[in-house]
Amino acid sequence: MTTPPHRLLSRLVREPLLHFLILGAALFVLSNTLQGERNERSLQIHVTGERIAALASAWEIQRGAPPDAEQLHSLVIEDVQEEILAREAMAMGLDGDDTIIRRRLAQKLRFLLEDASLPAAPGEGELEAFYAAHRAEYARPARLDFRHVYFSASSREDPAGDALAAFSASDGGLPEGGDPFFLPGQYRQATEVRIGTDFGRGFWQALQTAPEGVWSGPHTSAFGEHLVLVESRTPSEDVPLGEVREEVIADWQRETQTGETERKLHELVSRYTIVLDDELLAQ
Amino acid sequence: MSGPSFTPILLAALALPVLGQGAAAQESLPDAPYPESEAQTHDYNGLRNAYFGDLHVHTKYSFDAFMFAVRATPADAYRYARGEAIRHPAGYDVRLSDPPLDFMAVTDHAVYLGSLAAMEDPGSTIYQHELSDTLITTDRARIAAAWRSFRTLMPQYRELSDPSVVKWAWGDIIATAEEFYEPGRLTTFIGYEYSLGPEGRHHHRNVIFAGSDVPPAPFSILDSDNPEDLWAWLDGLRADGIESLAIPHNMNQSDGTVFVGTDWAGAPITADYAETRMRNEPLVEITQVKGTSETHPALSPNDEWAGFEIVDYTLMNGQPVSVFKGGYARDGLNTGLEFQAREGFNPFRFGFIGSSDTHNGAGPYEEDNYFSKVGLRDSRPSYRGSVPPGGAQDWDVTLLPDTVRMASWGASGLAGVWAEENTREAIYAALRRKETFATSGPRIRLRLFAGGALPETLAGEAWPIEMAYETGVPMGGSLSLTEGESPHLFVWAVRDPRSGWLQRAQIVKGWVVDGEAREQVYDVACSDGLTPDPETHRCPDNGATVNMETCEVSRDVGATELKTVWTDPDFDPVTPAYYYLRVLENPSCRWSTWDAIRAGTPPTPNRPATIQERAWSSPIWYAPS
Repeated sequence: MTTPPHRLLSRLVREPLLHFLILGAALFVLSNTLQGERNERSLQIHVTGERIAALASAWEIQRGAPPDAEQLHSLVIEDVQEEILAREAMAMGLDGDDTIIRRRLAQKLRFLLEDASLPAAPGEGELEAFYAAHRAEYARPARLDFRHVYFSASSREDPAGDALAAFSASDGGLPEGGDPFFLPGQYRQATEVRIGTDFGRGFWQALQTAPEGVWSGPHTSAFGEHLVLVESRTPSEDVPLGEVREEVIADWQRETQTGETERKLHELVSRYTIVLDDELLAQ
Repeated sequence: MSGPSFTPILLAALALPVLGQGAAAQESLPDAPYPESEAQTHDYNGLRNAYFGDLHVHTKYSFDAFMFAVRATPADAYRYARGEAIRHPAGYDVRLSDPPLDFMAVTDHAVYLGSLAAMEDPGSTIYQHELSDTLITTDRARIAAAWRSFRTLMPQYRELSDPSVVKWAWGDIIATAEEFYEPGRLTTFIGYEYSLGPEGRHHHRNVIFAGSDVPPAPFSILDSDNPEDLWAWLDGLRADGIESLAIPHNMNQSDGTVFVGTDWAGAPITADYAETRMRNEPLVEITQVKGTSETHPALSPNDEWAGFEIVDYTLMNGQPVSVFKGGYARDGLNTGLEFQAREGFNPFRFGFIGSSDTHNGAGPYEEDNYFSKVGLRDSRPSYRGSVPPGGAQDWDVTLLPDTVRMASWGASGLAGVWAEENTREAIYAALRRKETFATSGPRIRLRLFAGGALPETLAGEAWPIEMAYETGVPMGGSLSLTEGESPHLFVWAVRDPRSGWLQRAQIVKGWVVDGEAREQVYDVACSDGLTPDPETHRCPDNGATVNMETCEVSRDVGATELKTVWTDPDFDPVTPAYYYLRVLENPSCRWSTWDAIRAGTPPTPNRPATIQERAWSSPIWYAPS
């Protein structure tokens, strides 16, 4: 704001509408002193220097230049009028049946509850307890190293029979006579997600029962039959808290905040008696 | 897409004896036929794996998403990619029923990046801005009015794209991509959308950065409304070691203005222009929710499958598209060949990807798990035109134009890449070499190689891929032939184990006769032991059907894989050509039919009840030397 505040104020002091408003408010206050402080305050509009500066700065941000004195004083007039209209509308209960205002207020309070529920950093004990309760979510998933020989369901009459024959003929060695497979013939450290994506539902489960270190099968995938050599299994493994600390803290905060917001909301709800006309719900 | 029942297969598995006691594995196992190398992850495969992702995702930082009441953050989008549930603005959870995605980029609109979100952020310079009451609503009925106000009001308020606001949103986009990048599990890319749309004609493109090194702010249409300036900016960054590429999308909504013979100012395209364009835009997004831009029945009258998920109005003003030529990828490739033949350079030598363009932070790729893409606006079947409005039980009702348009949107699509492993380096390199493909949602995987010396017996080899790389070029590549050679194309596609069976594999060929591009679709591999007719180049009908009461598809019809080596019977070595692979599934229910069946109403008469899900490879080009 480039216009010095004292000049603006002197300008405002000369404004007839403002005179009228101030005079009116003063008269009202005088004639209603017995009505108590609460009423008195609600009929006074105090346009602070801070408010004027804020109006000017909002103007400047939007238009790229500060308001001149005339623009500023019409900003103040509009602001005062808006304030009075809003107060009168609320006094008349006009806000009561307005879904937009209702929703906005509810949203504001919800944000406040959420903000108030945002926890600081967890204590070490709290963090460890949370990690212990969710250990499985941070664990490294189980993995599998395996090779396989494929017998196509598209190009063979009896892929399972052919696979069995190849298995028997191989005498424990590499089965021969399989079909080319689109995906790798060898997987290392493959997770359930990877195997499910590549072979379809159920193949991971089938491999869980396959013996280790020897060829087995046939096992059925979405593409046909497979003879499989499970080379090694890496069981699901806990990841120490130290390695996932930041992730755990973020999850703890999110969960604590949600829980705390819900608790506060519950507390509010519990103060009310809710009468539910459930005829419609029952239908 | 809908998974057919797997129960019979699982039962068969249980009934079979599981063998395998006895002899230990012998030492004579063949080594995997690829070199071991300095891999970063366990998935590393020198012959490359297929990875699936979405490079077009909007979150609350996009002004329009925020107007649609979307509050999903970039972190929510990456959680969704990992397979977690996130909240839809209409109050329900959305989640992939298919496996997690392998890669994703959040690509919010650079113009007004974060502007609306900042109006609700107390730390922002535009917190509680006077426009917030007009533009921000969680009331669906007010969104259309807010949208209209937006277009007239926003340009008058420069502070809405204040650098501090952009920095706030861009900073979070960068930090979140870094946080969620997990090599081997989820690759994230930092990106954004340059959303140019003169007179409602789409010239949008997504910028994808290769790594963590990115500029302090995105280049938006407020910086320049000329895409050539965007390329100059990208070239400048590249000179400073910041690598990126741009991917145009929704050419279908450009009213035929994307693939034309002139530059932005209207001057004829030069070799320099072609090189600059292809350096910066090696790929195009050919399928997404707002329609498929492969080709149009008016452009490809002899392609019976050209009318796939066509959206034929312009987004910004809802006007029907009047010019299709110049707005579809195949036509762009054709125009490129004509340039090649006439001028000796090709300005439209691009590969393909698909993506979603979701504005919910969550792509709807699955027909039976569809929730469209614009927040509250299309959050219910009746809003998106798949179920009659107002509880009506039939379609003898008046529909809003908006609803009819949204019914034409599709549950699409995904970007596929062939990369050694799931890391930024490997996937970005695949995008650069155009070893990419697009799908309409299912994770169909397809390989295409071409070479003059590629063995015609390759389809029967035990390890065909290694030999294919040795004797041919993969999708996205350039074919060179020695004299007398004809191109052999190795085609291999496998179904998504959770989606339908494959019906046919097709080669789409373009070439030039007397300066004019021609195109032809050849069926090259058919399901169920059928073979293409040598005259018509079509597979016979495989008889697959869909039950319109339940959406169940015929069992035992279709292929789990299609594989062949195809030799171009009409090859002419003196003209330039391209070849790309298109693979079709058997018909299955469209999302709108799933919605209708669930609601107990008939499917919309305005769209087909079934579709054929599909995948497209990037082309391989041939140019006479």
